[in-house]
Amino acid sequence: MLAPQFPASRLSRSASLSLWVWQQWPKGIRGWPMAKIEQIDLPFDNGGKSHHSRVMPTLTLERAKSKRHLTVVEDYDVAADAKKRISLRNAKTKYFHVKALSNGCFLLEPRVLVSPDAISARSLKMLDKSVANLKKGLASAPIDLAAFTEA
Amino acid sequence: MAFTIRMGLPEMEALWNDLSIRKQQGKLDKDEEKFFKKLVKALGYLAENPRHNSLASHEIDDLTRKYGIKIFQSYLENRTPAAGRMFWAYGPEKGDITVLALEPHPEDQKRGAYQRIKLSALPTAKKRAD
Repeated sequence: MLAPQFPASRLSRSASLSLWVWQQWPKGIRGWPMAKIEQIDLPFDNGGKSHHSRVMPTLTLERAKSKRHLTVVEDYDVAADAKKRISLRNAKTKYFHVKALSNGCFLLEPRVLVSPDAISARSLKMLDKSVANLKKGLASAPIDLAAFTEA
Repeated sequence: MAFTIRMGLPEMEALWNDLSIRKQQGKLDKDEEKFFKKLVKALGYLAENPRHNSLASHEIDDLTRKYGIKIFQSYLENRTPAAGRMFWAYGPEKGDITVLALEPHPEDQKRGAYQRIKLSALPTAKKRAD
């Protein structure tokens, strides 16, 4: 008997393909066999993901399902002022990235400023090297501050 | 307990050697002289007491997580919104402090810093809800 190719959980929306196969070939009989035939249900996935197989998960990566659902919080009409400016009501962020589309739409995407406490790439590189050497027990000779503090 | 101050290899050691030699030769320019004075003062405090009030030393969790050893940050100056900072860690021996990196004074408005401000995407959906 043929075993199903896919786990049952992935076949919840599957249809079954009916195949009529010869169950056995009767021995000693020439010509068309007279043995009974049997219907076998072969499940297959009709959800458009039939090429995804748990047996070979690296074959293709399934796209993660987005859990965030956008909802309309406010819906209003505004008029541009004399300088062609419009005001946003209750904007949650100070900065936006604006895309003006050819059909007259404007797409606003919130942005935040990079933290001023961030370390520059140069300092971070210096830190990387120093920590790597420190872990090996390497550091400079002790520094002498006396000469500079007295001056 | 007084600590022995060491410099991280290779860049911090090179920086210290360069500044200290030129200081002794009197070849530091005005800005370098100012910076060196602050550095020496901060290192003096660090050797005396790493938790000295003037240093405002605190551990940087992100860097500690990144490198696997405790990384601290201290300020080179006080009452300055954009003070220079130094990063240090205890070690390699007991009683040692190694200065790992210096983050100089961030550039101010006059030098075009605002023109180079980067805008990044919002952190995460969770934070956005807050």
